[in-house]
Amino acid sequence: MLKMSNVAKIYVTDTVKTQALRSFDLEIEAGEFVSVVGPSGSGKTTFLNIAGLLEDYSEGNYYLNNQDVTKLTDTQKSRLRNEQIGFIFQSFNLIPELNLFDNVEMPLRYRSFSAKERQRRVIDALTKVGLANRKSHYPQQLSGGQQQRVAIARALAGSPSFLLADEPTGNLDSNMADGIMSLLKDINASGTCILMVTHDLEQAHLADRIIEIKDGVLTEGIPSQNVVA
Amino acid sequence: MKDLKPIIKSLIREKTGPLLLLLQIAVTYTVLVNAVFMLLQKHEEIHVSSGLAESELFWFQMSLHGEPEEMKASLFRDLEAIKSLDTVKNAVTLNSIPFSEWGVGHEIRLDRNAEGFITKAAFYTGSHDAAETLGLKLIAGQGFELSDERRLFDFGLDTPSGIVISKALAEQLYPLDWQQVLGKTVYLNEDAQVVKGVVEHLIGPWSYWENSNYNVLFSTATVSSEVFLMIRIQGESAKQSMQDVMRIVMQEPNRTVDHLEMLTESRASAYRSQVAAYSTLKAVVIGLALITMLGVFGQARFAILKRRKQIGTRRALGASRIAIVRYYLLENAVINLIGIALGMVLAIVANNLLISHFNLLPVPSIYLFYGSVIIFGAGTLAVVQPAIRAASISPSEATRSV
Repeated sequence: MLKMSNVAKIYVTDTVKTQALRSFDLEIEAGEFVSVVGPSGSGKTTFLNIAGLLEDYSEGNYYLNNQDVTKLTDTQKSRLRNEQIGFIFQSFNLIPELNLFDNVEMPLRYRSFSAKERQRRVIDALTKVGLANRKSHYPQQLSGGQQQRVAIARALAGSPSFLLADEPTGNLDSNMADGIMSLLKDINASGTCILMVTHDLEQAHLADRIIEIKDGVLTEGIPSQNVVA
Repeated sequence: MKDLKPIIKSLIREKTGPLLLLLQIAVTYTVLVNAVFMLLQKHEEIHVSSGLAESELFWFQMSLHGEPEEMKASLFRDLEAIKSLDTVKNAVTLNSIPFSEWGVGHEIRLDRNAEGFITKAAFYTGSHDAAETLGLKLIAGQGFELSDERRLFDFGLDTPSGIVISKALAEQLYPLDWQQVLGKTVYLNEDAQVVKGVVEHLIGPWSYWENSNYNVLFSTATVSSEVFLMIRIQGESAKQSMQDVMRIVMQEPNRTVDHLEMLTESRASAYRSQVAAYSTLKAVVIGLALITMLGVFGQARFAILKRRKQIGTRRALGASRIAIVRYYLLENAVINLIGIALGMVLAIVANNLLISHFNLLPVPSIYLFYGSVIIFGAGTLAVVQPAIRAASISPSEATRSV
């Protein structure tokens, strides 16, 4: 489903070249749950941005559902993100002026769904995260855990091939975090592939596979306790 | 247009920012529409057609001495001598000079016994060929013949001698069909006069007077110790013509001459303060429009750029660059349209206040339309650059932690 070969990322400024990610190969199958761990500044977010087509890579090839994304235009990448990738952000990134319904509906408006189809998908997604009855509320009327559930509903509403979760529990207390992890496990159990960046080793172990990134080097396997911040 | 509903919802939710922008647009609209209308009115006033061959005319005031008959003889002797000059096309005496601010006015009635009057008008009285000399265009009826000319020591306008009036005055007297005025008797104060002809334009002595286009011309040369002479030049050199004329008039002992000037100079002088006010108002309007555009630009830019994270999130969730530009243009259009609608109401209210307090004309509705188009265009133009800049925000902004 996701195949990267010899992918590397180098940031170039006027005087400095920084190797953010060294060349790596990675393959993730449909339905997998993969955690990405590593200390701050190790390149986790860069990796997530590349996987989510949010940022270009400097070298290598990346196939998403057998489609080479290297030469896609910005508009084609936008469409691919919209249709195949669901994003869950650490700080939820909900739009405060919009109620839950409109927040979840927002990415669907970039597709050719009818208003009725959009409504059905929004209600389905909000039902999955247990917040359908609060669809007219605004984000600031919800707890952090509930806001992240709305963000998950927004990610699910477009029926993506996989979810990219960037520290999904980073801003939550442990009870709320457990709830979110349980929800992600359920989503994964229903067949959606998840790629999750986390600081939390315990949560990382809930995944099928763990990838460690340290100093821009990506390695497969279970990291030692002292590697993770 | 799928974005319209959420845009309206979020604007209602956000309130303060959009409201400030909206008020700015509304106030600008109000001020601009009224100020531009005033500017155009002022422009029209300053550039009003005088009906005169201004660039070919100069005038002066000169003294006459001796007994009345001596003064009369001296005046017409000099006039004949001036007319015979190669550099002069014609010369006439007039009681008053356009733009000079020296003149006499009458109340005009169509019925001698009517209470009140229809309007007031200024009058020029002088040589029978004054109309031709001034360059006036006769558009109905007839002008004066030599036989119509009287030469008096007082105004003597109570004697029916026939008058020529300006079309503007004719229209004021007979609004439905101004040509009906021909052959009709009008009353200047109490004195009856028959209208012989109508000239297309004739400006009055007072440029600032609201009735400056209402004027009456008599064929009566009045002789007094100070007279005005109007000279139409022949050829290209006004200076030469002036020198030639002065050489003749200054042959008379004790003769004094005052105000020797081209009619174009008189016009410039009469409108100097109005031109200054017009230029100042124009500068203020342009400055205000620029400041407002910068304000709208700044507000739009701030409103967009404070939402960097939100824009990054939209991009991450699938919005193309075009979709981002479209979103912010549409949002701005909504604010603009509401601002213009509010501005339209304010403009009408402000205009009504100006009408009641300063006797101004009502702003025609076409100005409201043009104002809307200009403000909408300027507002849209101001937001294009910030919107394009917003579209260039990377989708990776969504995952940035600060």
